[in-house]
Amino acid sequence: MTERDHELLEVSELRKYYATDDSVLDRLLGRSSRSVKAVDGVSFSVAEGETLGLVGESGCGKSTTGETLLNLTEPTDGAVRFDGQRLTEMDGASLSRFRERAQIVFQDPFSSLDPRMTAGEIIAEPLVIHDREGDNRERAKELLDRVGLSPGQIDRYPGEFSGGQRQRIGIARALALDPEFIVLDEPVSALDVSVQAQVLNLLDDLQTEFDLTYLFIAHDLSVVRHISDRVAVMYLGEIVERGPVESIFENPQHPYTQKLLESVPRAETGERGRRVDALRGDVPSPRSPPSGCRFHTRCPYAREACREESPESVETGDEGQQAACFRAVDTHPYWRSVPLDHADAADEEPTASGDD
Amino acid sequence: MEDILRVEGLSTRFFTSDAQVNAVESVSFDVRAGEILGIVGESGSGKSVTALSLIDLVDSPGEVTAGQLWLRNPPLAESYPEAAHEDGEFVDLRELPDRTRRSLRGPTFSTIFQDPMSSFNPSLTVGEQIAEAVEVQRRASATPRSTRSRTDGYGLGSYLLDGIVPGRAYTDDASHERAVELLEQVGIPDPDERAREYPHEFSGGMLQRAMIAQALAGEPDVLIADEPTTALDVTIQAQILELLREIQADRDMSVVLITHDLGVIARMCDRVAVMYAGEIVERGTLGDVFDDPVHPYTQGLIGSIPDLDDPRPRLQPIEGNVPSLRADEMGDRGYFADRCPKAMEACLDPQTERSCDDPEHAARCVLADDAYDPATALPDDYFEEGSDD
Repeated sequence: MTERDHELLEVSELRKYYATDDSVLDRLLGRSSRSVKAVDGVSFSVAEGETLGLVGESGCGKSTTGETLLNLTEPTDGAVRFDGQRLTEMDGASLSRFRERAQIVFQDPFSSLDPRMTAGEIIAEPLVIHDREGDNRERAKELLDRVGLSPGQIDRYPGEFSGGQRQRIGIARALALDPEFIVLDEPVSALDVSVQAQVLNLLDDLQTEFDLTYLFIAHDLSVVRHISDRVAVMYLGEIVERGPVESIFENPQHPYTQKLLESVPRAETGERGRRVDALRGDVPSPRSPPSGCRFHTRCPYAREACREESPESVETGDEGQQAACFRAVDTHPYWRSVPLDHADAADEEPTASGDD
Repeated sequence: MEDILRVEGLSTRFFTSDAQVNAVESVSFDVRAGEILGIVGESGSGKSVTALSLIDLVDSPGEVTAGQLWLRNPPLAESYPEAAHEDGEFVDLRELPDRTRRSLRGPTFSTIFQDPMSSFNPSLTVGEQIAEAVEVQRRASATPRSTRSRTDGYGLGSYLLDGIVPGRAYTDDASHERAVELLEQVGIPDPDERAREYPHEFSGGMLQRAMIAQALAGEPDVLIADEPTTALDVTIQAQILELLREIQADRDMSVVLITHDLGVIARMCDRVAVMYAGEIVERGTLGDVFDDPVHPYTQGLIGSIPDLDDPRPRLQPIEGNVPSLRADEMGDRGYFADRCPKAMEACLDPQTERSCDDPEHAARCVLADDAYDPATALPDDYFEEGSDD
């Protein structure tokens, strides 16, 4: 699974800004608009057959990333390549072909299904749109059965299904066109744990059966660890760390990843005694993100250098792991700059910088 | 530890036009002084309705239909002999007059809810709303039998003015000062300034802190926290849980913590009750329930969560869906039997609670006393007749 022979999806420097408070007068006067930088220069790739977990807290831009790379919203800047082809250069026919090969499952199983269509109509709709030949109803029954619902329920409306069952309908719809790539945008976060486990197992089985590639967007770290082969961690529109799932969870390099993992309460009896140094403060507004490293306002290791300069992603720790943090570079001037007032974590100098 | 609240056979039902919903069904548990008791369950398991039933906040068409809510309060037991337990220590909350029961909200019970954004009034400052809670408590303790003093020169003029400037005449400088003090205690920086801000100027985590400050205004003996961190991000959740544990230890309060998150339970609680379909299916210490679960539902719940530190290749979910709780669909049988991997003929009888060897650890399941007997196991398709999902 770690073999990376073919990158199905490559995203480089993807940006999505939402303009706000931008009146006609502002535009006439050529004032620069104050925009919300929902996604700000995100790069990653997803290899064929793997699951990339995209994880972060609310407002970090993970869902916008998923929608933008499928071209559901137009990116402000950056390039997305699907199977070697640039999305922005696709013409009508190849874009339509792309829309067959790449699908999405949304978070909320209540608002993502049309309440006036039956389960069968919902699942068959992609087949109608893309003029597929054959018996749509039979295909819908087959898909219902595959996602663990009874084909006899084909004429029921979404309102007659429970949350978990609706999410299965959403998955069946995404499978209708035999896609290669599916963006799963928080597919289990609206579900109860026992149902969540059913859906996670189903996604697992479908991936093996149909050779699917997943981009799994979630805020729940346990779920991400369970399902992902590789993980990217987002904070305020940027990817702060990415790498193979074991490296990210066993050997996190970015202080944000470390704090995120520390914060998750474990469902085991030893949890009460575990010391948790909670990350202080709130996530700053993406309207005016902090200068330099965006995490410096909350980072326990922040120094003067973090306020002035924005860190690049560098190879660190394990193979294939990258973190955007000065601490990953032993020779960085960071180590000689002054800690910020709120930074209080006990800190040792890197061994390499020695006593010069 | 002595128990301060004993719930016996509590049932709460909702009577809607087309069905009767048994949201809580003969639930019994106790809350001890200075402990954190967790109630865990999936959506629709009745955990929130159980909490609302304790503080008499179940709204029509819901109604508490059975059970006793024994509160340890000897002075009240003396004043209301008709509601008192024969030991003279406890009173049954359901037998108290409404006004007396209401006066217990604040000094005895206080609540924090899941969604801080919708729990505050958006048109009043946060400080004002906390000061109001402080003032209610001050007046209630001055005249213990009522929550609102009528003799305090509150005439028509004040009433009309209150309509124009809400909260105007009600709070004063002393209660404002106390509000700022409370905000400081829950870790809000610049409490003086933040008290003058409106709820929308607060972040979710800060507003949850403010709600905790408001709940502390009455110095409660029991704090009921209903999914206090569910709407929050995981790093903010860690802050709020730490705060809850600090104030619980400082004040030696009891906390009833309601959540769907087993991780939160493990982080916070001394004892746990697991709810399913309106019933408590298992209860015991944290160790009993997490390390030695008896009820197949508890086992299934624990098997369903992906482990952060030790990933398993495959999850072991509970098959099927949570039942609807409509009385006409539920019948008499053990509620979990249709999803239970170990359902036997004995499970078809209405069940009573059975204790495991340890009296502290109980489960509503035949397996608590008897070993699983495959000979009497129900066939796999036993429950499929008549329902097609």
